[in-house]
Amino acid sequence: MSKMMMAWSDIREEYIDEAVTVYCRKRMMTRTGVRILAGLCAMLCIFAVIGVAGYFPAGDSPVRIYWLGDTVETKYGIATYVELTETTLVLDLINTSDGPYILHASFSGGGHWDKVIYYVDGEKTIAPRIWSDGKTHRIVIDYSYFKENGFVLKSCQLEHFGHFSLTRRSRKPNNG
Amino acid sequence: MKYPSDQEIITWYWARNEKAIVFSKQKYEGVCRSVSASVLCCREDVEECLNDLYFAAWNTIPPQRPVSLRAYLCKLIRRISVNKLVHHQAQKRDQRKTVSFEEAEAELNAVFSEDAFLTDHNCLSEWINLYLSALPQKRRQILVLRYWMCASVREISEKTGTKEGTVKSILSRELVYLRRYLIEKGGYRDE
Repeated sequence: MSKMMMAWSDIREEYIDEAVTVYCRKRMMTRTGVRILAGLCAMLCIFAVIGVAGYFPAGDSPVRIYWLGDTVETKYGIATYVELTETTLVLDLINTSDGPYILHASFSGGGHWDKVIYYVDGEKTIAPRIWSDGKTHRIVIDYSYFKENGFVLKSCQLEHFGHFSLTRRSRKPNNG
Repeated sequence: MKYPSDQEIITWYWARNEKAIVFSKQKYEGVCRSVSASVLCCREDVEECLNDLYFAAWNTIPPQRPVSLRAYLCKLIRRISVNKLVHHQAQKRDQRKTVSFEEAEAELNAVFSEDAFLTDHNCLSEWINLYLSALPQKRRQILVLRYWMCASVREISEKTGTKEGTVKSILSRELVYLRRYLIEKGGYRDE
């Protein structure tokens, strides 16, 4: 060990304190940086949770997603979500309102609404009129155009009734 | 976590209360470990030095009443670590030093020839202290970080917010001035 190096060991405590303060202060700054990073991560997590919650909202949310097997009752009628295939959504619908109306479906993920084909009790139409006759009508909504053109559809919004999931997920285990 | 003040801990040392050791350890072990690890390579040696540190602090306070407990403990651990290194060298055991320590020592050896000193170690320390007292704070911090804390140039640059090149030039210039100062004081032979 050199004499000079040994001599440096005995410098005044006030100078050591000065240097150690600089050394520690910067470490605190690093910790602050870590805290900022953690805060940003937490914010990202919150946004992600909000995003997921918006997509699959909870029961008390203003937007509700209906799943296979669900029955929706509004002043316009009763709709039961019967079946879901790769390109079709099947509903049983009873018009309980005072008059007829035309069903209109729009899809999340984009696309031209006029490319949707409807079948009302097996009859093909582009403007499905539902009569107020108290009968159950089988509605098949064919959205194969979107599938063929590479749109990723998440849900179908049926006017007067709400959002119907197209992702095959279900709250009920037997519906897969 | 809120730690007791230094003065409170020092009062416990004086009252021979073991809480002094517990809180010294909690409050300053991190920085003391850094100081020791800047000198010694071996982790076990660092741990051993830390144990010796609290024992030394217990034995020296009282009679000492340090103004800054942190600086006092850092100074103690530096001395213990350097002594351990010297002991290893004498015993021809693990003589490895840390890279930054070796670099700092090499820088000093490049300016100061070992057989040109005309004074003893204590007097030399006192002159270094006097020289440091005349320096602006930032320059002093850089010198102490390099030759006492054995921090690398990059580390000093990051911690003081100074460019690496500037740190290097300050270090080399100040060593030359220190050499001149020691020659002037009669502690170093002009070659």
